[in-house]
Amino acid sequence: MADLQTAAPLGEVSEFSADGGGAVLQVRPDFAMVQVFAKTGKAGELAQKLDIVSDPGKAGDTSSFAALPLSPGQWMLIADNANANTFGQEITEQISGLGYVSEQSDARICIRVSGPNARDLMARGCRLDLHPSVTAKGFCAQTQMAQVGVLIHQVSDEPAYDLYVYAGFARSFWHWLTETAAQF
Amino acid sequence: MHQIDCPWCGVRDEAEFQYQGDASVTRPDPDAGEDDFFSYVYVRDNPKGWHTEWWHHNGGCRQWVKVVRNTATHEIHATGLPRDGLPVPQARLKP
Amino acid sequence: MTRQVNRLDAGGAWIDRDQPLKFKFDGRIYPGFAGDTLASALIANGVKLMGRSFKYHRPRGVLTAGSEEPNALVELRTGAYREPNTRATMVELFDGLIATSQNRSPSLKFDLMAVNQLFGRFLTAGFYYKTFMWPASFWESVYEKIIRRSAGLGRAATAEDPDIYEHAHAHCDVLIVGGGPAGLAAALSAGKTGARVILVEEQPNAGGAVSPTRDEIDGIAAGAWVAQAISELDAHENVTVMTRTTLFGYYDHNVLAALERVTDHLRAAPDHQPRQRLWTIRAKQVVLACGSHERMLTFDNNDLPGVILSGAVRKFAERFGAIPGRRVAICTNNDDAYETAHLLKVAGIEIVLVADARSTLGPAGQQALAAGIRVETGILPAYAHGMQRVSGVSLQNIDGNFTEKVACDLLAVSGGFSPDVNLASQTGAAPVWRDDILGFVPTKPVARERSAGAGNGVFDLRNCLIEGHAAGLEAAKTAGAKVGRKGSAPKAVSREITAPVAVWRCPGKGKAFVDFQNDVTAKDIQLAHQEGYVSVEHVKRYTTLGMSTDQGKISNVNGIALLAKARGQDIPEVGTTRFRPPYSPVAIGAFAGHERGKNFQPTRRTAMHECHEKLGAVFIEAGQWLRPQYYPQPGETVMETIWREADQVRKTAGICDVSTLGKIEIFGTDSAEFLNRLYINGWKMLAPGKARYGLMLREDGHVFDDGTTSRLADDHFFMTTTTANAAGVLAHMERASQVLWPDLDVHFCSATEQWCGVAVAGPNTRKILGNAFGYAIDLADDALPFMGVRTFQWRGVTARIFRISFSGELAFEVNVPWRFGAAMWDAIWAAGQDHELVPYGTEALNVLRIEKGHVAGNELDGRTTAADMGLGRMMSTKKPFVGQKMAGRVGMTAPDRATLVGIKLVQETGRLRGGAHLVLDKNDANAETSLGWISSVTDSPGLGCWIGLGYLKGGLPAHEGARIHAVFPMYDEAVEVEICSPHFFDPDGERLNG
Repeated sequence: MADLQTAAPLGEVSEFSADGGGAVLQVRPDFAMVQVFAKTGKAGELAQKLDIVSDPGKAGDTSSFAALPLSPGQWMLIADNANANTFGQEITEQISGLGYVSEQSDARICIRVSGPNARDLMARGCRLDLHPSVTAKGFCAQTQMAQVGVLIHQVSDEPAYDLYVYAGFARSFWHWLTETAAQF
Repeated sequence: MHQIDCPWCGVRDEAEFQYQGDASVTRPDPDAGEDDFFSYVYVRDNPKGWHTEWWHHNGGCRQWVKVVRNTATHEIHATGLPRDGLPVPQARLKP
Repeated sequence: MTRQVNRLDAGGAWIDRDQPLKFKFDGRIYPGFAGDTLASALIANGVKLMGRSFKYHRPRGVLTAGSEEPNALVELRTGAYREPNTRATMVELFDGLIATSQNRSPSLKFDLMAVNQLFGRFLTAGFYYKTFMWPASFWESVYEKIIRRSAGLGRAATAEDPDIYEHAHAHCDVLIVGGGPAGLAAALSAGKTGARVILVEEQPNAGGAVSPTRDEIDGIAAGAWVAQAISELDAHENVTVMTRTTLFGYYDHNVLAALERVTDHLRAAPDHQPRQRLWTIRAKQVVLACGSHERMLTFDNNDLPGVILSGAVRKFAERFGAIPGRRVAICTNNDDAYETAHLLKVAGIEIVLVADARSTLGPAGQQALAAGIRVETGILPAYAHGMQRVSGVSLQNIDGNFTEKVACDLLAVSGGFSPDVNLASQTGAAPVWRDDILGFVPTKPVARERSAGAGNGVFDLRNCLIEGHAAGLEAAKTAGAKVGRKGSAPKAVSREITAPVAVWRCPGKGKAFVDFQNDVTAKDIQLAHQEGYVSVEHVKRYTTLGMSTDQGKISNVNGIALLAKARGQDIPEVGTTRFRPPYSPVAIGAFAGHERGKNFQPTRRTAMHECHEKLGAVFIEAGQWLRPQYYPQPGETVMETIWREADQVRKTAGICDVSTLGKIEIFGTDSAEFLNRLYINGWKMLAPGKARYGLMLREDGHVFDDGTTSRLADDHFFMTTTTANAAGVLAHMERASQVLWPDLDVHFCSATEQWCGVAVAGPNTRKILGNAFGYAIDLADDALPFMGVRTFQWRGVTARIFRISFSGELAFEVNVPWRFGAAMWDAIWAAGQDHELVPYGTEALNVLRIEKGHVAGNELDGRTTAADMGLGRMMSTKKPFVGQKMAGRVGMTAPDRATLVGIKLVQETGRLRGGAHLVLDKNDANAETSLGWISSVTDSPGLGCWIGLGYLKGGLPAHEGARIHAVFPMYDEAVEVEICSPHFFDPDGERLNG
């Protein structure tokens, strides 16, 4: 394990709560993330091997990671409290001969949006319909908010959403998100 | 604003897509002559009416989406993945 | 508090008499009530003069009670918050509101520019086109100043807008536009099906044109019924009612835009609250219940303050208890004005008479007679008397014979009602004319919408409710909701309506206004027609009819009717102009939302951003990225800093953040084949652990992008792109893999942010990196030769090291995952302290690469070929690649193409400039004699003179060693230059080995 000092894209910032208590933002640390590609023609086998679903918009949950389908034959696998080095290796070994693994643990930050006005806050930037009749826990989508690409994972019916945003945009996105959330 | 039914993501705003031109042209075989490539790169119909187009979903799943769209009314008849053969309505509006 | 002279003692459904307010108009303080609009409060205070017209600066008072108001435009608030052209009828009063009249100098009552009226005959249709034509030299110096001074419609604030604006998104099954009786009935019926319903209402209160006290719905006063309906809708979880929200745009695929005025009605927005919110609404189905706009009658002097639309008078009385007069004359061509007469009579206002243009009385007229109101039939207004406010009106019969002059201080006029077809027309559905109601109505929808109520030409309350109810049900059902019991529409008593009579121009020879805001008179339209403007779209542009902020809501039909008369045709033959968004003015700030100033677009920061800040870096935007441009030391000029950085890289060592380069990770057994097809050079023989420079063409054969790509394993490559083209290259590859060659086993994704990178260059590099990485990697030539790539573990972190060089010095690029970027920079920085390591930015990088003749963005300008760049031999002939055939075209390979050369300034003084033209003789420099251009320049510390890269016809073979001129006509500069090899510095590349 590395003994080096690590630095997060948002620095020391870890949480924001709107004064009115309507929205809470939490920066989630310590997740491991890999993008998995099925070899051409092997998507079904790979999904079976990892016990994950391939339906668009539906995140599958195994005991050790969430699997968000990104496009035909591609998934983002996300594991909580995992070591980035070992998680990638484990998956690589599991799908040997069926697919490929790109390490992405550092590529994005994760911000959890929750609170009574979580959906209202999302609607300030997200073009998707997140009404409870449309999305529920386990919903996932790639879209844009405030001109930034976002991978959304709805983690509870409450609702709460995990937003995965590229590290370079972290500060800019956080700035927009907190300025907007402050009204709640 | 167009609403485009991405075959992977479902209906999404036009703002998530980048228009990428005519999808009715096919890339010639690499051995084909210069004329064929010239047509492929430069020669386009400019129909008033139905048109098969590429819309790259770069703000979503990053798929190249084939769209049959009416250039006069903006109506979308069908969408699909690159391999999908999409029916194009025959009626064309008067130029 | 002062008495409000025109405020009734009781009544006013929207105001709260327990909440008195004060406001200021043109410097004078007036009292009002919470719930007032600025217009209603001014009326209550007896203020009639509220503005001056656009062209003639004629005195104007309020004409309407809604967003269609053309006259009462004021500047609201002060300082940075100042907003021009707000409609006094839409401004909700708050305590301390400050408003100022506009388009007048020095004061509203005495306006010098009103002299324009005397020259009115010169200011007719097409005035601007005719008058300010020649001499051309007068345009900027004289005419523009005159036009700007006289035509200004309010003053925008000059300071930055301090308000917050935001965007928001909504989705629904049924969107209902308009909270009048039809809209409410639709919302109730659609809401009961369980469909997701949004109702938007422009005003702060629902109810529309219904009379809260005189109308009855479901057996109770309409005002009470509206309140009941709203609370019922609020109780439905699936229904959202948005007031103070204007639906202003109906776009393709049932996407609509609305502006919510969140805090405009407050003195100041609470913390973090936006002033306005721009909604994008995606609706499966839409019900347009937009109501109608009352028209003016076109008679002489009809723009005098105190001449007000009859329905507006009623709204001011019912909503605000304010009546703009005590002695009222009413002129009408339809039944509706009788409602006004009854209401005013009950309020104790003297009704001089109702002049009805129709020859016989219908039931409404009979009722008025029975109530003791004087009614005259077949009578039209002829002339409104008064200076700055109406004092009387002359009447005439339909043949234009004077009948009498009556004194009045308020002239209420109704010229009929135009269904508000604006939004339906925006969808492309052309409205059709209905003679029985004298109005255009929406025709067969082209979008997923339907119209209901007055907006559909239905003016009877009972039928409005029935139609609204049905429309709501149908919309919900079409949107997929389950419609069980249909229920019944809210009930109201039907009234017999007598058809209006068409009176498009009351006989007269004076100024009879059609478009009040733009001062278009009946005569202007006639004149435009005489001059050959026949099409309604042409007449609109020539006369400016309907082009002002009210977009012709009141004037359109009157104008079209007059044009039809001039053309000797019926109105349907003339047709109407197509309405376009926005329905009413929207502040630019609302469109911008969060995206302004520094937030215009998001910025990207690298993992080492703070390291650069600590070293005092000046940043530059590279696309969305912020990159260190240079790191100034105290007392240095910019050039001194850049030279120092570049010089030290050559002499000792430098470190540069290269994280912004696009990085793409490529997997698959066909990866090498894939790269072979994308790049002009070959990739199959590249061994794992090696990197190669690659060049991509577009399909048309021009250079697209370049970069270094490494093979990490047989089925694993790591590509870099230029910073600027990263997104474009990824899209290009996605097209290739998804569209062109889907059978290849190749998969890739961006890794730009997973890995951050530094380039360390200069003779001391090995010592520094060895130390920094604790000798975890062997940097010796045999262990890591030029273009070698290794993965190594640095204190438990996976790092990648590439022996590549952009500067021409011994150099390495090292990548680590983002979170260790700052730690890596710090480790190298610490190790470099003993070896004169300097941080260098994009400027020094540019100096170094120009000295080496390496091409960058300036040289890859989309017009160059690989051969132009001197890389023609890189193009493989053994394999096909994208752009190959097109690059072989005659014009792309012609011997006289401009190709890459080096350029050296030979004279002692002067400088080179990017963009300068290369010519043989500076005295004969023009587009024909230009042989090429300079693309990049630098004052080179390595060579001690100005050098540049450029493209020159014939290139080095024709010109090497020649002395020619670089001319820059913009600064009138011409300098002598020598053409040389672009490899200025260390042409044999010996320094790459340190």
